[in-house]
Amino acid sequence: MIAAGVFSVLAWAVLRSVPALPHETAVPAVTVHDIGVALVGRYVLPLEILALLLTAATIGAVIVAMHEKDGAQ
Amino acid sequence: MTPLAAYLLVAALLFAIGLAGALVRRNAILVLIGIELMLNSANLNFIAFWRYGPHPEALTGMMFAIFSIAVAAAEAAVGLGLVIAIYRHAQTTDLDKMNRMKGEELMQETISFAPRLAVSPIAEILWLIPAVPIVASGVIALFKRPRRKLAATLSIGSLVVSLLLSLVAFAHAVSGGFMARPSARPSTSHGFISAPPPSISAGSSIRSPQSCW
Repeated sequence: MIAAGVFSVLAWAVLRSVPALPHETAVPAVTVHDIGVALVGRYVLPLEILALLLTAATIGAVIVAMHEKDGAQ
Repeated sequence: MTPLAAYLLVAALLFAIGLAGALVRRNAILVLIGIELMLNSANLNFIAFWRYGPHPEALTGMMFAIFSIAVAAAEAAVGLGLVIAIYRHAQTTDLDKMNRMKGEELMQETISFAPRLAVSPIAEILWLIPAVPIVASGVIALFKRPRRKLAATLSIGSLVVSLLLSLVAFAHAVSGGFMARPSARPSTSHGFISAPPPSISAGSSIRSPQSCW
């Protein structure tokens, strides 16, 4: 019921804001090459931070899910 | 209806489904799936606004979606690791039974707090503690003109009332008024679980951590 209320509010907001939404008909000509260049160019700092985050999350998940009984290993 | 509005509606529907899944489901893995659905609806919004926005060559929406997918992957990894650890500890993935964070044995029965709180008349008026300042602030907000003295009197008075109520409730709780009757405590099905005797109040039941957390 809460989810239905949230959806109704969101749909109402979207339908109210239809005239204000941007509508560009031009299809963006973006290739995977462009994405790769942007990832190692302008967005290289978020990429590195994300790599650190993923490493930390993986190590944390493995440690949490590992057998905690020392005798079992 | 523009295509962007259609995308936004689909994303809103996806978010609502994910929210319903996260709220209704009792299985931890299905709650995680619901959270992932909500994250994916946000990603769909990013991509839709990027596609129909004014500067699609800037790749900002695409990059944001990619990074949010990676963060969602990290979150799912940690969440599933926690689910595995809790399942190994308690042999359940039912979220209603994961109601202890102190490493005790998880309660095998879902505790319903309503019959426990209903035994005391003080518990019937606990909702007044936050309600009185909220009502006072609403009344103050309804003033046409700013009236400083009346507003100050109302706010301070409501806070004093709420403080008195909470003090009464606290004294009641310290004296054990909120404790469950022995009949109201859910029976545990496992014999080795050290269920505390009803004389021990909830605030003073410091039990030794008996597990491997």
